[in-house]
Amino acid sequence: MNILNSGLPGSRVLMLGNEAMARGAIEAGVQLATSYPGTPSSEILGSIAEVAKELGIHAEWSTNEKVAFETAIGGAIAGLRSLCSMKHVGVNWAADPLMAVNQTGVEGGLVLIATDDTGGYASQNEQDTRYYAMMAELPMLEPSDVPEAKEMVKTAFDVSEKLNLVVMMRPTIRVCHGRADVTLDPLQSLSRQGKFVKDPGRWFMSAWRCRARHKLLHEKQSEIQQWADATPFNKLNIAGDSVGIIASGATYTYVMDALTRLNAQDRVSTLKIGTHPIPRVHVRRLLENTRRVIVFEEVEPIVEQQVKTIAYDHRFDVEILGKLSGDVQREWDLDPAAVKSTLARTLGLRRATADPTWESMVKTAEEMAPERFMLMCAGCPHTATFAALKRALMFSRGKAIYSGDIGCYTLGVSDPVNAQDTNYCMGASIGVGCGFAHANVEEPVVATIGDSTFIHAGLPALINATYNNARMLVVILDNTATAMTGFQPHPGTGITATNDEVRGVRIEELAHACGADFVEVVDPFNFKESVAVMEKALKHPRLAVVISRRECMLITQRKTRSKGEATATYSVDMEACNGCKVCISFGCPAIVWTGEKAEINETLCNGCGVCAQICPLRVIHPAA
Amino acid sequence: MSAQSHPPGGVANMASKELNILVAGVGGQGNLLASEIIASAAVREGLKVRVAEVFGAAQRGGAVVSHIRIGPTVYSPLISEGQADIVLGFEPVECLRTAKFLSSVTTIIMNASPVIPVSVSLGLTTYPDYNATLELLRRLTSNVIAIDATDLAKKAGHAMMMNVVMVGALAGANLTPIATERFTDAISSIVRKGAEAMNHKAFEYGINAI
Repeated sequence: MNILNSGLPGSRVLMLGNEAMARGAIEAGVQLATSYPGTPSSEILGSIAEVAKELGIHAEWSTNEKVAFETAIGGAIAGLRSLCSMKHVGVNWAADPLMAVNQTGVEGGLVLIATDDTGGYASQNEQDTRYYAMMAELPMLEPSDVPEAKEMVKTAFDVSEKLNLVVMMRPTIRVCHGRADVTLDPLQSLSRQGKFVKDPGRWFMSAWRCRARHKLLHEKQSEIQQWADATPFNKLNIAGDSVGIIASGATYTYVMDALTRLNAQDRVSTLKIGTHPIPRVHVRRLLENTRRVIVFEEVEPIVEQQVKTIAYDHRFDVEILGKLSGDVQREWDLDPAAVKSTLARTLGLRRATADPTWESMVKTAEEMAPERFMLMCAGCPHTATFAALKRALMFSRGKAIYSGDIGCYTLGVSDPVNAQDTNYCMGASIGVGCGFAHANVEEPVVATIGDSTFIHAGLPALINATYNNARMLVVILDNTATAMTGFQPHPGTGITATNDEVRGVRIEELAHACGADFVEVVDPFNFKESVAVMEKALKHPRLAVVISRRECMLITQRKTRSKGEATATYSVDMEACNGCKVCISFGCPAIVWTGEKAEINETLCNGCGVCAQICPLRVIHPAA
Repeated sequence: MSAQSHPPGGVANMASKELNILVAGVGGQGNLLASEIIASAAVREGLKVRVAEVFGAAQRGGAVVSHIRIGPTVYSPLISEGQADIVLGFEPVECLRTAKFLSSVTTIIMNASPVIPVSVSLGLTTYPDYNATLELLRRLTSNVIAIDATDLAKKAGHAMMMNVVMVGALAGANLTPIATERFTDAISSIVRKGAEAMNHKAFEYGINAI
C-alpha cells in the first residue's frame, strides 16, 4: 500500500512535505512529472515514480534540471498537466528555458516546484528562488506548512491553466522535510491525450515575436495581482494594537508560535503571505491600521522591499522593519526562537530574563560534545578512491589541487581525507580544473566528479578540457547511483525512475567520445591496482580519465540485508597492531582509536576490506 | 497488549497543551525512522502533529535531530530553546548537544551506548567521560533515564533496532498521550517488510527497560 495512490478521501495520514506535494499533484491529475534529484526536493518525484505506472503518469529522473524542465514544457504545451521539481540551485540550470516559457505560456498546467534550502543545509548556497519568479514575471506560491503545500500544488495547476502561465512554488526546507498530519482528497485522473497546436507566433520565440509575447506577459500581471489579492493563501488579521507582522511562507508558523507563547495574538495584527506577488490589498489595509510593521521572510528581503514600495506609493507613514533595517537575521533560515526574540525586542513585548547559571551549564554541555564531521560512510568506495589517489600522488609529495564537485565525495573535504579544495556547482570540478590547468599551477590538477554529476554537467566541461588541452586527472567516482540524494538511478545505471531496464550509457564510452585518450576503469576495493592505474594516469601527458567503479555500500548493504545475509566484517589483531594510525588516517568511521591501537566497530563495519590492504603490518583480517 | 493511554502522572504534568519531543542521534542510527514511528502513532491517536528533521548533508556520521510537536496549538515543527518536554537521546554526547532545548522539567531518555566520532579517533577532540556526562545532564534536569538500548536491540535480533528500543522506552515511560497499540500499529506499517516481528520485540524490550 502506498499513501500516494491509496487512502480514503477525508482520512488523515502522516506525510513528509515532499510526499504531500506529490500527492497534491496526483490529486490534481498530473500526467507528466520530471526532476533531477537534489536535497530537499528528491522525494517529490521519488514518491510519484513509485505509483506512476499504475496511475498512467510518465515520471522520470532527467539528466539535469534544464532537461527536466524542458521535458515538462513539452508535456504542458501539448496539453498535459506537468510537474517539474528541483532544488533551488537546479533553477539556475532551468533558468534558460524558464525565461522563454514565461513568454510562450502553457496550455496544460505547468508547475515548477523549486525547493529552497534556506540555511544551505545541503547546498552550496541558500539562494532565494523568489527572485526567479520576479525575473520571469510569473506567479509563485510559498507554503507555510505541509498540509498547505499539498493544497497549493492543486491550486497551482488550476491557476496555471486559468492564466496559461507556468506557476512556480517555493517550499522551503522545513516544509519539504517536515512531516504533518494531512487530509487526503480524491485522486484525479485526467487521461488527456497530448495535442500540440502549431502556432509559431506563440511557440517559436525569436527577435520580434518575443516582444509581443513580453507585452502580453506584462498585460497578464494585473490578472496575477488580482489572483494574489483574492486567494485565501494570503490571510489578514487586524488586531487591537498599532503593530503588525507580515510573515511569508514557513515563518508564519514561527510567528504564530511566538505570539502564542508571548500571549499576544489579540494585540498584534498579522498578514500571512503565501503568494508572489504579495497581496497589495491586504498590505494596504495592514498599513492603514498600524504604525509599525515587522516583516519575516527567509533569505532575501523581497517582501520587505515590496511593502516599502506600497507604503511609498500610498504615502503611509509606517515604520517597516525587517532584514534591511537589521531587525531580522539576514542569513540562514529562521526559527520560532529567533522570531520570538525579534518580536519581543521590536514590538516591546515581554521578554524572559536570562538565568546565568543555567546558561553556563548549557554552554558547558555544548562544549563537552565533540564535533561530528561530515563523513563518508563505513565501506564507502569513495573513501577507498581518495586513499588510492593520495597514495598515487606520493610522487608529488602528496601535493595536488583537488577540484571538487557536488555529491557524496564532497564529504572528502573533512579530516582526515582532505581531498576537496573547491566546490562550486554541478560539473565545476572539470570546468574549474580547466582554469587551474591553464594557470600553469605547479601541483597536479585532480578533478573528482561522481557518475550522476558527470552526466548532469561534466560532459560539456570534459569536452572543453580535451578540446582546449587542459592537462588534468579526472577521477569519475562511479558508485552506480545518485547516492547522496537517496540512490536514484541515472542513465549510467540503465534503470529508469519507474524501474524499467534501458540501454543507458557507458561512462567510459562517453569519456572516450569526449576526446580523452586515457580512460581506465578501476575497482577502488582493489587498492593496489587502483594506485597503479592512477599513477599511470598522473604521468599521462594529456588529460586522463580514471573511472573508479564500485556500487554504493549502502545499496550493497540493502541487498545483503534483504537476502537475510550477514555482512562479513573485519577486525584488528589487537596483539599485533603497533598503533601506526595509517588505518585511522584512511577516514573510515568504523575504525576507532582506543588510545594505543586501532579497533574496528563491528556494528559500523561494512566489510569493504580496504583497511586490511592499507595496514602496513597486514594485521587487519576478516572477523571470525 | 493492553492499552495504557493517558496516564495520570505523565501528560497531566505538562504545563501546556503541547508535547515537544526531541529525538537526537547520529546519522545512520535510524533517528528519522524513530521520529516517523512516533509521529505516525500520534496521528493514529487523532492528534495534530508537526515534525522537522534537522540534518546536514551527511548520510552518515553527522548529528541528526528530529523535532516532534504534538497538540492542537502547535504551528511550527521546530521546538524552541528550553521547550523540549522529552529528549530521546540515541547516544550520550547527542544528549549534551540538546542542552539549549532542555528545561529543569525535561525528561531525558538516553541510550548509554556511545558512538565515537572520527574527530576523537584522530585526536582532534575528546569524548567526554560517561559519568561526567550523566552528572551534567542530571544538573540540567533531574529526570534522566539511561538505558543500554543498543544492547537490548542486539538481544532482540540486531543492533540496528536500537531506535525502536528507544521508541519502546518512550512508550514505557508513559509520558505521551499515545496508546501503546498506536505505536505497534505504526511500527507494523513503517518498518521493512519481514522485519515486523523483530521490531515489535525490540519495542517490547524498550517498554520493559523503563
